Amino acid sequence: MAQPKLSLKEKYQLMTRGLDWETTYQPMDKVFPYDKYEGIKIKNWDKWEDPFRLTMEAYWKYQAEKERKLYAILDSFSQNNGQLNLSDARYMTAIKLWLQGITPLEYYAHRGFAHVGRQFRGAGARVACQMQALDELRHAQTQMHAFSHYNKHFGGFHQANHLRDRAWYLSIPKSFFEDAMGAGPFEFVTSISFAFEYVLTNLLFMPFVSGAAYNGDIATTTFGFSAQSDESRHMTLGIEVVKFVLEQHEDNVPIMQRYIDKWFWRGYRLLALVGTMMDYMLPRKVMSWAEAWGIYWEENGFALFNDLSRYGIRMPKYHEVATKEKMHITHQAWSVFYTACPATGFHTWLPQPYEMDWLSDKYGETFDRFYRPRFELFGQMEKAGNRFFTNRLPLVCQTCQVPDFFTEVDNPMKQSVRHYQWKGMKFNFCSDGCKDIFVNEPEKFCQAYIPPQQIYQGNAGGARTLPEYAAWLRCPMGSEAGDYYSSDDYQNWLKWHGGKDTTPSTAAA
Amino acid sequence: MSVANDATHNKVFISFQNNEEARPIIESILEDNPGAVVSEMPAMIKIDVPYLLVVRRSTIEEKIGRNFDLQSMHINLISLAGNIEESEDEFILAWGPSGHSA
Amino acid sequence: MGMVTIGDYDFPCADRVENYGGDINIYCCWEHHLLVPAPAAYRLSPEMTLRLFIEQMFIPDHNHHPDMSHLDLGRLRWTHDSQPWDPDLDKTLTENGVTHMSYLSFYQPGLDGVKGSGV
Repeated sequence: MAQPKLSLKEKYQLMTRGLDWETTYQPMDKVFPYDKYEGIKIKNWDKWEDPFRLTMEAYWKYQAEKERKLYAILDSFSQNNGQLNLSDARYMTAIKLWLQGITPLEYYAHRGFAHVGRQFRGAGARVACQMQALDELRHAQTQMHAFSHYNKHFGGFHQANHLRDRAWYLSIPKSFFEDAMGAGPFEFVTSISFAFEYVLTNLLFMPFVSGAAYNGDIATTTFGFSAQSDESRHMTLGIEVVKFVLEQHEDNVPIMQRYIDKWFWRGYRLLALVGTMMDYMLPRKVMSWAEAWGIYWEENGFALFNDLSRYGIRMPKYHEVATKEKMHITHQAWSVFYTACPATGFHTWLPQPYEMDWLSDKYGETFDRFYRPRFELFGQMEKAGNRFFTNRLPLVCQTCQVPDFFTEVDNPMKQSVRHYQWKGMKFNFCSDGCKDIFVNEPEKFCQAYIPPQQIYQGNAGGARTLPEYAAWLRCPMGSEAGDYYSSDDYQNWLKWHGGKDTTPSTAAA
Repeated sequence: MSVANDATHNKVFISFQNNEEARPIIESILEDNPGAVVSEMPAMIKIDVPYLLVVRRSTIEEKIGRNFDLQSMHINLISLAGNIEESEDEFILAWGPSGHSA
Repeated sequence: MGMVTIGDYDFPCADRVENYGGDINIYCCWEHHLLVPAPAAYRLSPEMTLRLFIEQMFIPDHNHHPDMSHLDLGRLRWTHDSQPWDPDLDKTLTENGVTHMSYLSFYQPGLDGVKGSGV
């Protein structure tokens, strides 16, 4: 007689329970040395509820199908010279930044989850981390594969690993992940699965990837959505870990709150790069950073924290600062990229008139009062044949490593800088959020490898000036760095389009 | 700062690639969730519902005229928000204590 | 709250002054002039006078700014690590109390950038 069919829950429990055992040759605490020192108390790992009850068999089946679809589209994009149908070659700056800054994070995530997947003594959590480690490796690979097509046609794609080690702006994402990977397993999962993936990555993979579609980049659209469908599993792991830990012991609440505060702020600072991609690097616009923040944080994020309030968890510290800053940070970050682009692996430009109007429309008084005059002054300097580049290294925040372009939330004309002394040494920060993180863990953050400081100490091939540093970066003006309109990318783009500049004249398609 | 706790700030959502495979899933969700609001963006669709959203296998199967494994929606799923309760017949996203799969 | 670690955890600061060969690192910013969009870092001898630094290094970095012709070193309001500060331009950085990683900024009343935008 046929057995009754198992429910999803039963199937999954059969798969994940009983995979492990109580060790006898060595005590469990020696076999799993890392999952107690953070102070998180777990009374019963069997209470772990698997968020997506995906069996390994189903996992392989659906992942294989995603891959087949993805590679079919990538092949077709490449065979049909899809790069010619992009809205404008300026768009490539966003994709260079993705390959240089985001793809390495996928690989870091793979390593991180492979590591913590070994460290949790609960088998359910281990299986979820193992699947995620596999997903993240897939993301790194599919992204490199998709971008390899652009490497045949544009600068900035051929030395991403070299840039990851040397480029100042890439220390922002790198330090974010190294901080997470240098933490205990519970902090790692809270930082990456919960704070970053659940709370923040929708901002990258939804509006930006939709923008990629709008700008003709089918390759990025396809891998982006394919990756985000894995992310929805990861996000669910994040919220499950948080709820599980909070339910296990009341002593866990303040520890988790501190992790959430820290990683919300660190993730938010990292996303300044994504916001700038949306507002400035998409020639055709889908949604502004401020609008995306409103939807994905102020609506969806608030809903999440309303739900978590029953465990005694409150909104992340300084979230109201982040919401006030949404009107400013992308314009400020673009100003840094615009002025520092000779020492990067991408090109920048002044917004076109239609983009200035779009920014006025989306940011209103804030843009017209504080940022339009800035871009107009840059424009006058360009016209006079004196395109402005900074020739000094900036103050970089000791915690988030973002050049401190941030201003006081109540005074956008005044630079926001915070100070702290520890063991007789001075440290500087961009914000109260970053200062608090340092004050909690000065022993860790005093070791930060801050690019301008390392350059001045002689650890960038002896470079002291920005041009010397750019040479060490192997990013010559024209082919890799500098203004877009004097770049090889722009010249090639004109050549491929019969001399015609395809810059859109409106934000809409 | 107090956090608004109204329907706007208690929305769950699910988002799919805007393609042929996802269309019957999207149509079923709209049918099964009267409060659903659809936003269309290039290449994607996002569906928001206050508090609770259900994806029902039987509704999808009626539309496509064959068996459907709910987990296969992963292939065209982009993202979601809410606590998940999943069975072979229903996939539910919800906020609030009832949404916790305890 | 101290850091929670699995064992001994004591590592030197990456940017300690010994790594600068007798020099120090300082930051300087002209308030309400964000054309240079972040405060700049300088590696300097602590024996340099503040005037030499401002005249020979800082001003040339901002020469392109339309407000520069109105800059009057005698009218600046200074801060050091964000506290009000009254330095003597002709004394050295050390004599003025400037140390490794000091953050200096100045503001000249009436100069608020292009169209008063802080740029």
